Amino acid sequence: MNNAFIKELLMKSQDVKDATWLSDHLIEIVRHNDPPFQAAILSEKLVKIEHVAPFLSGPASVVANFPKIGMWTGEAIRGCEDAGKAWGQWGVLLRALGRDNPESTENPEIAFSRRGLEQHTRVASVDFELDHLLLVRHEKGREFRVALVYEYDLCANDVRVAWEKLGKFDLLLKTNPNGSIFSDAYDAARSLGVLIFNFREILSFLAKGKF
Amino acid sequence: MEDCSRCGLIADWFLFGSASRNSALPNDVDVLCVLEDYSKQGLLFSICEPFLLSAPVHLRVLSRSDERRLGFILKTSAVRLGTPP
Repeated sequence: MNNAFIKELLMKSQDVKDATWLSDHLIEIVRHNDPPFQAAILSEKLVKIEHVAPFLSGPASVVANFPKIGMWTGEAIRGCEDAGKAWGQWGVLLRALGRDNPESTENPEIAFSRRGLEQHTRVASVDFELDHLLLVRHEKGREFRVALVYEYDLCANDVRVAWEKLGKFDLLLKTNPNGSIFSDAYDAARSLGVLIFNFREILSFLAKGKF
Repeated sequence: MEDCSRCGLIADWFLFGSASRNSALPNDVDVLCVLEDYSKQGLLFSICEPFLLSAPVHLRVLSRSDERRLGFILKTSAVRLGTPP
């Protein structure tokens, strides 16, 4: 992953004074106003525990996967969180650049949904199957695979693309609060046995417990 | 884009989001690909995959009819890439 392009991107940040590759995947970032920190940068289609393991006991504060289309397994996520490392795609590293504590940086889209579901009084637990696929256990014992989809206007193709990418799921949570859900999205979801919700709706669905 | 064109994939390409607004450091580069319909979407993804794995590019794919329905290009002030097919 050690390449000049990534360093060039980092140097564009107003927070960054210098960036130096320490190894193929580890880069040290020196900032103008905050202490330096190290980041591990991966380039994987699917980040697994073996990809992050080399960095979990070291000084890296952030483990970032460069390609936007890359996904994370739940095991890799848990590995990072148990080791106190921030994890996510490139955007998480960019967010970390301006933070006092880079290791606590989160993807706000994922974090908001996860936290909201975890705090629901009728939800027993929330785990990651993938970074955009949560396993939500209701207090009644039912488990739901919840796909997180960020599109502005959700249409049928978005539902099918999510199904192809994430595998089977029970609920689709539209995490972008703006835009709308088109009727053909509901039709596509119905054909797959999936329910589509925005955030308020999924909380209500879980509260009612009618399943 | 060129690889898609060489494979006979007819598409319109646009840049949208913060990268299109000359943001100094966008989180990612948002690219819209408008296809005639979704039948060639799988081919599109397989052609684009190597590029998508090497850059923080978010690829949004819409059919022409869905783009018209969503008014996506207008809503996002998307900028055309390349010349129309």
